[in-house]
Formats: sequence, structure tokens, C-alpha cells
Amino acid sequence: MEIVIVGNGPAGVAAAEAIRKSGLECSVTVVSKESEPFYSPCPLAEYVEGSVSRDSLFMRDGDFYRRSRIDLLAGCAAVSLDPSSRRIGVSRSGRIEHLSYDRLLVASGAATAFPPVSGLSGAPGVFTLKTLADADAILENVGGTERAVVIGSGFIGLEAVQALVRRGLKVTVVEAMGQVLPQMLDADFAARVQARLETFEVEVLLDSPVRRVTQGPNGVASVVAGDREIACQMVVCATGVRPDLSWLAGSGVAVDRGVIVNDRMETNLPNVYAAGDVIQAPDWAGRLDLLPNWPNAVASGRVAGASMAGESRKFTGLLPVNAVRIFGQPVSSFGVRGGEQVVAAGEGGAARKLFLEGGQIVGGQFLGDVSGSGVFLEMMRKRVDASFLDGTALSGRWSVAAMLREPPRVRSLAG
Amino acid sequence: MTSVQIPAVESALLSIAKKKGIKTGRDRLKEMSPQCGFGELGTCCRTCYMGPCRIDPFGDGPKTGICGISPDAMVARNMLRETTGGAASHVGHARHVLLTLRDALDGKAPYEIKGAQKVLSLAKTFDVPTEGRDLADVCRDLVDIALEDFGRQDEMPNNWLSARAPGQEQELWKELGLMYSNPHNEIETAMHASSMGNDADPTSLMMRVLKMSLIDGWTGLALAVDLQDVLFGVPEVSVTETAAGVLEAKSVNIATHGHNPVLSEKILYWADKMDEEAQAAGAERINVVGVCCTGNELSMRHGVKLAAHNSQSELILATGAVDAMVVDIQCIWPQLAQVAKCFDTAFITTDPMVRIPDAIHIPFEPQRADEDAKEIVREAIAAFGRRKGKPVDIPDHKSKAVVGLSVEAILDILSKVNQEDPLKPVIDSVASGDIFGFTGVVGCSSIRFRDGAMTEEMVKNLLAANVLVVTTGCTAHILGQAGFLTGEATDKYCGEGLKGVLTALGEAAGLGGPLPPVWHMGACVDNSRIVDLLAAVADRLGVKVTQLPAVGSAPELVQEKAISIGGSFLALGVSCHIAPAPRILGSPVVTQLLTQDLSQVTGATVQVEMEPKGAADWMIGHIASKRAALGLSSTPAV
Amino acid sequence: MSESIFTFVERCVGCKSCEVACAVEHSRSKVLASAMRETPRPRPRVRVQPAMNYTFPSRCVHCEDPACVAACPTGAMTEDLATGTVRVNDDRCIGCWMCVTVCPFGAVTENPETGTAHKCDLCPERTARGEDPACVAACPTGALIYSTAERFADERRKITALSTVGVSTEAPGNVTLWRSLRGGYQR
Ligand SMILES: Cc1cc2nc3c(=O)[nH]c(=O)nc-3n(C[C@H](O)[C@H](O)[C@H](O)COP(=O)(O)OP(=O)(O)OC[C@H]3O[C@@H](n4cnc5c(N)ncnc54)[C@H](O)[C@@H]3O)c2cc1C
Ligand code: SF4
Ligand code: SF4
Ligand code: SF4
Repeated sequence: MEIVIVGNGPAGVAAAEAIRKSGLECSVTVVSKESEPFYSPCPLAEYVEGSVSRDSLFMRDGDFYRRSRIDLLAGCAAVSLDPSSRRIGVSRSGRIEHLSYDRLLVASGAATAFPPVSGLSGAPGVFTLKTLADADAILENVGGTERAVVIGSGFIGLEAVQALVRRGLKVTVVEAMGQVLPQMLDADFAARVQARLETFEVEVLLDSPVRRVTQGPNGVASVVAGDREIACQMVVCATGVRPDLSWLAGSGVAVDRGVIVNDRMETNLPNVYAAGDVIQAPDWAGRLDLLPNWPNAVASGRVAGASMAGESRKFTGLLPVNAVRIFGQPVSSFGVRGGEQVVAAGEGGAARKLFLEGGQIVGGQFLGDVSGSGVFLEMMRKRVDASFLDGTALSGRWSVAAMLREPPRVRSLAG
Repeated sequence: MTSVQIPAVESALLSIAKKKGIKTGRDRLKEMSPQCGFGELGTCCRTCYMGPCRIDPFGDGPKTGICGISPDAMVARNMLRETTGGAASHVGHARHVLLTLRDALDGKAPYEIKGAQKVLSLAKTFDVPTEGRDLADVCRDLVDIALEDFGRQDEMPNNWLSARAPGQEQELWKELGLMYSNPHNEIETAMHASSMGNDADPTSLMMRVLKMSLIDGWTGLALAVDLQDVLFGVPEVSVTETAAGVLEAKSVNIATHGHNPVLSEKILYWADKMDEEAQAAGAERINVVGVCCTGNELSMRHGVKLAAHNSQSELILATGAVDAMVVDIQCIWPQLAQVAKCFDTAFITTDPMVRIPDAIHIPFEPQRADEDAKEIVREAIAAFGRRKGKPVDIPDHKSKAVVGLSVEAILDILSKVNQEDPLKPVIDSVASGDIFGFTGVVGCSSIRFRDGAMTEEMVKNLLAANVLVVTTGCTAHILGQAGFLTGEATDKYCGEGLKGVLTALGEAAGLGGPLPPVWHMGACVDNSRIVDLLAAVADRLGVKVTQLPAVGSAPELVQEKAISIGGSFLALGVSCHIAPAPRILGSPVVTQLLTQDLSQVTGATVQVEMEPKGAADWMIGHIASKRAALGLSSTPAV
Repeated sequence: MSESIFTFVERCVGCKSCEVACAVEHSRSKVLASAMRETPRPRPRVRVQPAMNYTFPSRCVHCEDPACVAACPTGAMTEDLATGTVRVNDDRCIGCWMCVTVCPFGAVTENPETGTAHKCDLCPERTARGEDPACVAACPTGALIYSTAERFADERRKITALSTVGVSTEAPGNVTLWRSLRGGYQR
């Protein structure tokens, strides 16, 4: 049996490892557009900043692929899928080849979603921060650069901001919406994050959709956003990611915003599975959603690997979580923002907020002190009654102890 | 977290503190949670340096300390040290008052004898001749009698105990070996006996606890109160206000906090005289308010307004409106200095024994009382000068309160109904069941219970069952703030019987309305007044105190002093409810002794109830059984 | 099956001895008196927390299929497949807090001094010497045991079995009483 995995990110590798763990005898081929072995994109900002070495980005030792009997076809992009012949087309050094599969995993991740603005995508001096190659390109160009504009204030945008500030650049971040981290936080917490950015001398422009990027004799010259034109020598575009479905066009695989899968990571096509950032899958509550993050990539990859190896393992649902550091201050959030709020303030500007509907947690956000936040996520997933939570109960240390319930209390010596 | 009913003023103060980012005891309690089970069970021993030793309450681990001490003795020994801490506090307080009185008589301290009536009644108690003698000379004899107690090395019983305590009970205490001579010797012996390698018999140790409690009761409470009445006068009924709303934004607010009126009396005196200085600084006047028990002392004798009980002491500072908080001794949270620092508040310690980092220390000596008090008032005026014009957050809450119900004041009211036999109307009402019984609801205010309004809820239940409540200490503040110290409360909360009695008494006394259903008898040290009242009623009826339909309660125990006071009630035969549980549950023997077997010894037991309703029910039931034993109807009103 | 720490919650009295022992074990000196003065300050990886009337020593349970390992995007959080022990490698950890965000036990926390994830590591030095982890050794009531899941389950079964044949396995009366009385103020 031949298993082909498109994508050498966490989803693809987790799947490959799950297949090997199952003991199924088969060949496993991992196809990757990029030329590096499996690395993590998450510390890329730290890599640009200089606090994380290039070596430690790589997630497995040098012997990993050989030991795990995985054929890695690096620098090889999938370009088409033909389910009827069970083959994919791949482009290798400009030549198109075909690979047959008995089972195929689509784990090709997501790509930066550029806003439809002229002079942005692919223009000189305009970078993204998605892959190791992107990070290397920024590093090559950052020397001698004084001013940069980061487009988008999502978590990748803000990580890029910090990396560049720590590299000594003066940075402006432009955001089309009325707040920073619009996917993660409500306006209240976003304002505090913004204030923190500003204390580190980051200029934050809200309600400022990018309209134009202008080029000068030495490359990029300015960004026009909202009613401002900001002169700069470097632009980092971090306007979010979107599943890259282009190579699947015409294959008949069902897609919406991502590849649609069930709780075993099966697509509508026989023997074709998908996992990671590319999927649209049931979330923790069973709703189809797009939730690109590392834990989901690993978890869905493992389920996909197990399914392909013939094991029956069910996905517990995509988790709507995210975490980011703003100049050392942890910020995390999960679920949705809305409904009844429970708020608590902690030491040194720390704050937590939970969102409840009908006595159940539907979301939460944490600033400065994220300890214990996983318990609230678990309470949400388990639909634990949380109506007992008030500001006092929410503050302070949190652990699973808060969820323990016990026998009724006797309250007197007489019993 | 659903059934909380934080008293309104408390929640207003808490939200002020929260708004200003000031952490409160509640925050610290939360951080402290969970608290150690060994400590709560009483089975942690740090008496020697082979330890600390802890007994496994599940019985699998260590069953004794390293030295071999049993958990029972460990618990009893710890309890003895708590009781000794409480007794030492009250004896120290009493001795300070005694020495001030001596110095005043010698012309060395600027205090007058305002309680002539008390001097005469004490002279009668102590067989001191008064005929044709100067008041000061009589007084000097009393001082000598008291001083003798602190110097004797014989086994003669203590003067104050033997002359002041009721006779029948003394007989019992003699039998039990509880009579003491020099209180200081006993405090020494208790510390000695409870140190490593001495008394290891739980029963013997618990008898020491009772003895130490008697010391608290008679050489602590009674001596202090008697002599305070001599120096500052016997309290008379007056009407005042309670709760944080008594602070005045435009006045120099001086909050006196602690227990010993020797200082606060002088502060009040000079504050009255120094209004002009305050006006020169732009204030309307000087507003002296009372916190904790020194507040109760001033309120009892001068109708001073009561701003806060102990656990609110940090909260009223958060208003920003307290210009000076002047403290003497006991129950002073070191945290106060930290909260004061956030404002212009001068936090002033005065006793050499009470030194707190970040406080202003103005040593107060009774000999220099006037100068010291003036200096303190000036410090407050200066603080007002710094604060003037800044916004403050004073909650609106305040309630009226009738205060000053000393035994003398009560008898005075009752004598308006029956001149010859003042206690008769009360005794008749007890017999008829209109007054079902008495409770002394006393003690501290605890953040562990405040959010459930433990004291208030319990008292509501008692009043509905026609149980008359007397109160002292921070409990009195709580009940004052909740409006229980008013005639209106009689209509609102009392059962029909009690309501009728209080209304009749109030009208006979010419108050134009009912007496309050809860009688404010003073500071925590004034628990001796409750004892005197009980003794008087028992005497009039010709029964022992333990036979009375009476019970005590410390529903929000905090201080060691409450343990020793409670012990003195137990020794007298008055059963007590307390919450939280004392640290005895690690010892089956001590638990059994205090909750059951003690009734065979003194007639009293201890009951722990954490819920107000349960506590009230137990007390009512206990009163019912005492009534039944006296042949009185024992069905409470419902 | 390898050993881990298990909790008999009904035996915990909330003395926090386990916290102190854990911090000391993870200090440089491993002696309380000097550990208190070290920088970075040794921090306990177990936290005793109130759970209504009970107290609960909360720490990593070294999950099967640990969420934190799946969530860690740097390879810092790993599971030793042979022993099931989940540990953080401080050198790889970038403090992204994904593990904190997903741990359903609240068992990973931020170490503000090092900026890395902080959790129970089952005392590798002690267990290598054949000793129990520090918290287990320190617990004076036997609330914590270092054992295999099977043996822990056996213990539990034994308790149930004894009680079905009428042998009292309940906590002593005074303990039950104390626990019920404390519920009111423990937050
Ligand atoms: C800068 C940065 C920081 C991040 N920080 C966090 C974080 O803190 N927490 C978090 O949870 N998530 C974070 N993420 C997101 C996280 O990295 C992704 O969710 C995760 O990597 C998705 O895994 P994946 O395997 O689905 O896809 P990817 O990791 O994107 O891997 C896709 C793989 O497919 C290959 N590929 C793509 N297209 C083709 C093709 N046509 N043919 C062949 N191969 C192809 C790529 O080369 C790559 O190997 C971050 C991402 C970035 C960029
Ligand atoms: S840290 Fe949390 S998720 Fe990870 S193994 Fe421990 S308990 Fe499980
Ligand atoms: S904080 Fe450290 S251990 Fe935790 S997920 Fe991030 S990198 Fe991994
Ligand atoms: S040492 Fe044992 S009893 Fe003490 S808190 Fe920890 S687990 Fe509980």
C-alpha cells in the first residue's frame, strides 16, 4: 500500500507518525513544496528577532525520515489531483510528474491571504511571515532598514512587529478593523494590548485599510492606509491565512472555505483525507469551522493518520484557541466573544474575561496571566455549568480543582 | 457563591476599595486558601525543635509527636496557649488602666475620677469603708487591693475574683481547683506547663484552660471595666449612629481604633477643644469616630459615632476620608499602615507594644496624656490639610443606634417600672415566656462570615423566638449597622412576647417607644457586664447562673481573646455557640470534653454551628431545656 | 506500565507540604533554607487548591495523549513514550503558552522568571535513585502515591470492596466533621 501525504508541516508529520505507530506495513511519501525538513513556523518571529536559532526550528533529528521509513520529496509542489486514477501531479524542478496513491492526505496548510491591493503581492520589499524562506528573506533585508510597516494586527502581524522592533526598526502596524487582534480579543482587551504596543513605541493605525503600496528607486517607498501615507523601506503583509485550494481545482473534492472533512478526516472522495490548516472540520461543538492552529493541525493529523491506517479514531473537534505574547506579556483567548461577561483583574494589569451563555462558558480571554486558562476551555468543551463563576472566583490561581464537586455539606457539630 | 448577602455598607466599601485597586482581607483570604488542615484540627505542634510534628488524622501515619505526646494533649496544649494569649491581653489591658488610675490618684497622670457611683459600689463589694472619707482615698484602697493581686506569692484567692464573682460558682471553682491568686504567676505557669516536656494530660491541660479563662474574666474583663468606669464614668443610655456614613468629607476625621479608652478618652477630649485649629485648616470641625472596641468605649460613655468594626477597619481607610487612624492595642491589622499610605491618612500607633512598619509612632504615656493627645490631634489636622479638596468616597450608609446599656443603666430603666425590685418585670416576663431567654451575642467580625451576614441572620432568628439579645464588641457594630440597636427593630424582628415587654419597658422609661431588642453593653472587655447582669438575675432568682435560660454566642470568632472570654462563660456554666470550629477536632478527647462532658462539670458545653439558622435553633433549644428544668414553659414562639 | 503520581483527594488536608517539597527539589541547593534565597526562585509545580470542602493538590497528571504535547509548536513539551512522563525542555520552550491554553488540568503555568512553561516533571533525579517524587515523600497523610495506574486502581477497588463488606473506609468522624465545617469560608 502506498500512502502519499502532501505537506510536511505538523499535520502531515503527525499523520505519518500515526501511521507508523499503527504498525501498518506501507510506504509513506511526504511531498513538500518547501525544501527544508519538518520545522515549526511558530517561532519564526523569534527567529527573525534573533532569540531562537535556526537549528532549533527543526522539529525532528536528522535521522527522523530514514528511521521512520518516510520518503520525503522536498521542493516538490503538488499541482493537481485526479481521484479517478488515484494520482497527483507534482512539479519538481519545473517538471510535472505523477505519483500514485492508495491513500492520500491533503495537509498542504494555508497561505497568506493578500488583500486585493495593487503593488502588494510579490512586490519587492513586501514580505510575509509564513515559511522559513519568508523569515530568511526578511533577515536578509532587515539590515540597514529603519522603518517598516506591518499590514494586519492579527497574532502573526503582532509577532512580526515585535521581531522588527527588537531588530531596532521603527514599526507602524496598520489594521483595517477598529481594534488590534480582532479575531482574538474584544475591544476592551484589544485597547490594552494596543496601549502596551504603544509603550514600546509601535505606531498603531486602526480603521486603516491598505489602499496602495508605492515603490521608489530603492524598492518599496510607502504604504497608503486609510488617510495616511507611511514612508518605509520594508512591508510585512500579515493579513491572515487562507487554505490554499488551487491545486485541488477540478478534482471534485468538496470544499467551502477549506477542504470539508468529517470527524475521521475523510473528504468526500474515497481514499482522500485532509488535515491541518487546510481543513474545514467539525469544531468542539460539532459545527464546521476553519480554525488554523498548531494543536488542531497535530490532532487532526493524528486522526487522519490513524484513519488511513485503518484504525477508527474520532476527532474530538477543532479547538478555537490561540495565544500570543505582546512584548513578553502573554495573551490568550478561546471560543467566541459575546453573551454575559465575567471579568476579573489581577496583579500588574493582568485581566481575564469569560463569556457565558445560559450558564455555560462560550469563550474567554486572558491578558498577562494565562495560567489555568485551559481549565476554562475544558469547562466549555465539557459544557460544565459555570454559573457559579463570578469575578472573585475567576481571579487567582485556577486548576481543575475548581471543577470538583463533592457531597453535601454538614454545617454543625451536631451533624 | 449564589446565596451571599453582603451587608450593604460592606459591599459599598468593598467596591470603593476595588475601584482604587486596594486589596482587602477577602483577597488575602482567597490567596491563603486552602488553609492547613493540621492547623485547623489543632494537631500541629511547634513546641520544640524536634518538631514541627503533625498527627495524621487518618490514623495511618504518625499517631503521636516525636516526644510521644498524644494528639489530645497536643490540641489541649495549643488551646491553653491560645487562651493564655487572650487572658494576657485582657490582664495587660486591666493593669494599664489600674496603673493609670494609681498615677491619676498620685497626681502624676491628668485623669479625674468620673465614676463616683462606681467607686462607692466597688467599695461596698470590697468592704472598703466610705463613711466620711474622701473619694480619692476610697479609690486608693481599691487600687491597693487590685495591686496586691499582682504582687502576691501566696495561695490566697485573688481579691478581684473572690469579691466580684458570684458565690455559688466560686464554690464549684474551689472544688475544681480553678481559683487563682496572682494572674501573672498563672500566665507564667500556663506557658511553662504547655512548653515541651511538661503537662501532657489533656484533662489537666483543659482544666488549665478553664482556669486561664477565669483569669481573663475576673482580672482581665472585670478589673478593666470596673476601673474604667471609675476613671471615665459608668455608661448611660444615649443615641448615636453607626457605619461608615458617619465620616464627614469636610471635617477632620479621627478614627480611634483598638481597645483601651485611656488614650481615646483624651483624644476625644482634646478634639472637642481643638475645633478652632481644625477650622483654621479649612475643616468644618473635628469628627472623632470609633472603630472596633475603643470605639465602643467612647460610644458607651459619650455617644461617639461608630464607623467600623474590626474587619472594616481597612475598608474605611479606602474611603480616603479618614485623616488619622489612632490605634492603641489589640486587633490592629498591620495592613492598615499599607492602606493608609495610599492616602493622606496618618496612621498612628501609640503603644510601645504595637509597632507597625510604615506607621507614624507617637508614644502615648498616661503621664503625658494631654500633650500626647494634642500632638495626635494636630497630626490629624495636618493630614486634613493635605487631603483638603481631594475627592473622597464616603458611602451614605448609616443607622441609628441606642448605646450605653451598662448594668447600671439597665437597672435604672427597670427601676422606673419597679422601684423596689427593678429585676422583677424581667423575671416575670421570663416566667410568662414573653422573654423566652437571653443570649449574649459577642465577639469579632470575621471576613469568613461577613458575606453571609452570619451575625445578623442569627439574631433575627433569636428575636423572632422572643430571645432577648445583649451584645458587645465588634458584634455590636455589626448589629448596630444592621439597625438592630433601635426601637424600630423591636417592631420589625421580635416575636409578640418580646415586642410587648420591650414596648412596655420603653414606655415606662419614658422613651416614647420600645426599647431596642438588642442591648449594646459595650466593648469586648465589657463582657463582664453581661456576667454581672446574669449573676444579678441568678441571685434574684436564687439559682445558679448555669440554670438560667441563657446562652452565649461568638458567631464570628477571630481573636484568641474570644477563646478566653468564651472559656470564662463556660466556667460560669453558660453554654456557648461558636463559629468557626475551635482547633480541637484533631482530638476526640477534647472535642468530647468541650461539646459534652463539660456539662457534668460546670453545666456548660460548646456548640459549633456554621449557619445562622442552625446556630439560632441550637440556642433556642438550649434555652428551652433550661426553662424546662426550671419548670417553665419550653415551647418557643414560631 | 510505568509509575506516576496519583491522588487520594479525600486524604488531602491542604497543608501544602507537597508545594514546599516540590519547590525545594527543583532548587539548586535542594535545601529549604537556602532554596528560599535563590534566584530564580524555586517554584512549586504542584498547587494545593480549594475544591469546595476539599483541598486538591493540583499538578500535571501526565495524560495519556497529552494535549500540551500536541499543542506545543516547538518540540519543547515532549512525552517520554517509554514512561509516559511529560516534560518541558526549557532550552526549546519559547513561552508561547499554547500548552497552558490547552491543558485541561491547569497544570502547566508560566514561569515569569524564565519565560518558559512550568510543570511537574516527576522528579527525574529522585525517581532515578529509586525514591518517590518529592511531593509524595513529603505528604504526611498519604494523599499522594507514586504508583502505576493499575496499582492505584487496585487500591481504589480495595477501598470499595472493603466498604461493601461493611469495613468502614470512611474518613474518621472528626475529619468528616472538620471538612464539612470548613466549607463555608474556604474560597
Ligand atoms: C509566524 C507564525 C506563527 C505561528 N504561531 C502559532 C502559535 O503560536 N500557535 C499556533 O497554534 N499556531 C501558530 N501558527 C500556525 C501554525 O503554524 C499552523 O496552524 C500549522 O503550522 C498548520 O500546520 P499544517 O501542517 O496544516 O500546515 P503548514 O504548517 O502550513 O504546513 C504545510 C506544508 O505543506 C507544504 N505545502 C503547501 N502547499 C503545498 C503543495 N501545493 N504541494 C506540496 N506541499 C505543499 C508546505 O511546504 C508545508 O510543508 C503560526 C504560524 C506562523 C506562520
Ligand atoms: S501538562 Fe496538562 S495536558 Fe500536559 S500531560 Fe500534564 S496534565 Fe496532561
Ligand atoms: S510554552 Fe513552551 S512548552 Fe508550552 S507550548 Fe509553548 S513552547 Fe511548548
Ligand atoms: S502534602 Fe499531601 S496533604 Fe498536604 S497539601 Fe499536599 S497532598 Fe494535601
